[in-house]
Order: sequence, then structure tokens, then C-alpha cells
Amino acid sequence: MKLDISTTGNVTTITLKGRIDASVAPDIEQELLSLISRGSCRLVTALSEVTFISSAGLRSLVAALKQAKREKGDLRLAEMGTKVKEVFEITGLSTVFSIYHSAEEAVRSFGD
Amino acid sequence: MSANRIELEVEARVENLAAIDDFVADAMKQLGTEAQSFQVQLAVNEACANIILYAYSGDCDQPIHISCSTMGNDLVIRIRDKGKPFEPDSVPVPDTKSGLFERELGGLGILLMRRMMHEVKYVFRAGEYNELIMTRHLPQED
Repeated sequence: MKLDISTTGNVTTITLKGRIDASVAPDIEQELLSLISRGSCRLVTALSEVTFISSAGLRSLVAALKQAKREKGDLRLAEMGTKVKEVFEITGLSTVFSIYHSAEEAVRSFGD
Repeated sequence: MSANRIELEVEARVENLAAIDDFVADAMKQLGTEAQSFQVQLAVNEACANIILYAYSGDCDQPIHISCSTMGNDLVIRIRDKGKPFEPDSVPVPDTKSGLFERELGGLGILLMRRMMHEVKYVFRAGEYNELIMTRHLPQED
């Protein structure tokens, strides 16, 4: 599993790493949905170490975003590299997610 | 193998997508087109994921054959499989402007392939193979 998880207050930060495609996306989606089902529905996903994201990776993040919103939370993105950003922009998903420059900024955006 | 044609054949398994990405990156380098690597890797990854998950209905020992070559100012990628033929027109074009809960996520892979490559064409050889041919125009040299 290519991710690290840390918690700041009531916000959980997931740092994804490497290539996010059909080979790992189902595991990432399961991990994110599992966090939400355990009550962590205020999530930040840090993407600075993601070298590549395919549509399978996008679908996993959207599935988690929908579930977080249903639980009155959110999944916010941070530290998006140029190439990953291009994929979000082409697919129109850059308007669906709240995107922050840094993970710290995304965590702070949830307020107290 | 000619100097400007580089090929790979792998079993259709999602665990092989990383090796396919590495192959594309290496082929782009050998062809002197590494500036295009990200776009081509993404298009090939999407195409091969479609083949594994839909044409072959999941991981199996059936082949995916990929070739990368240059023809004039074009980079040409050919991907062959022996799975179920794919009808790209049967996949609706995703609405990239709809809201989160209205959004259908099917078709994003094909959208990315069409945006990353300049031409995307499917050829079906009944009883033989399916072939996806993707072309990316290379920047003109001065």
C-alpha cells in the first residue's frame, strides 16, 4: 500500500506515493472508505509524491470524496504536482475537489 | 527489431502496468522522444487497464503486445490484444462540468487517451486481434 496516514486534531492526512493506477487504486479506495467508516471523514490527501495518476486513481478519490460528503465531511487535496494537476484539469475534477498548495493549509482549512 | 521500433509483450495483469509504464519511458528515451513520456505513459496505461479489466475481464495470462515507433514526425503506439472487441463509441463522453453527485465517471480513461494523443484509432481483426493505434505528433525540429 503506497500511503502514509497521520492525524492532526480531527483531520486525517493521507500521503499517497508513486503511481496511482488500476493496480493500486482499489486498495487506496478501500483504505479511504475504511477511514471514513471509522469516523475520519475530514480528510486531506497529499499528492506531492504521486508521480502518475490514471482514471482509476481519480475514480477512487471521487468515490472517497462522495462518501466523505455524505458523512458531512470532505476530502481535500494538496501538494499537487504539475502533471497530476493536468490530469485533474482535463477531467474537470479540479473543480470538484478543494485543492490547496500545502497539506498544512488544507488541514487548517477545516478550522477547529 | 528495427532501430525505431521497440516492442514489449506481457501478460494481461494489473500488476504489469508498472512494467508497461517503465517500458514506455525507456522506449521514449531510445526514440529520443522522452519529452512526451508523461502523456504517452498515461495513454498507454489507460489503454492497457481497459484491455485487462474489460477486454479480458480481469487478470489472465493472455498477451498484450505494445510497440512504439516513430514515423516521420509522429510517434506511433500500437497495442494488440485478443480479448473482447471494444466499441469506443459505446462509451458516453463524460460531462466534465457536472457536479460531484451528478457526475458519471465512466469514459474518463478514453477522454485522457484522446487528450494525451493526437489520433486514437481502433482496428478489429475478427478472430485474430484487436489493435489500438495511437499517434502523437512530435515537435518539429529546427
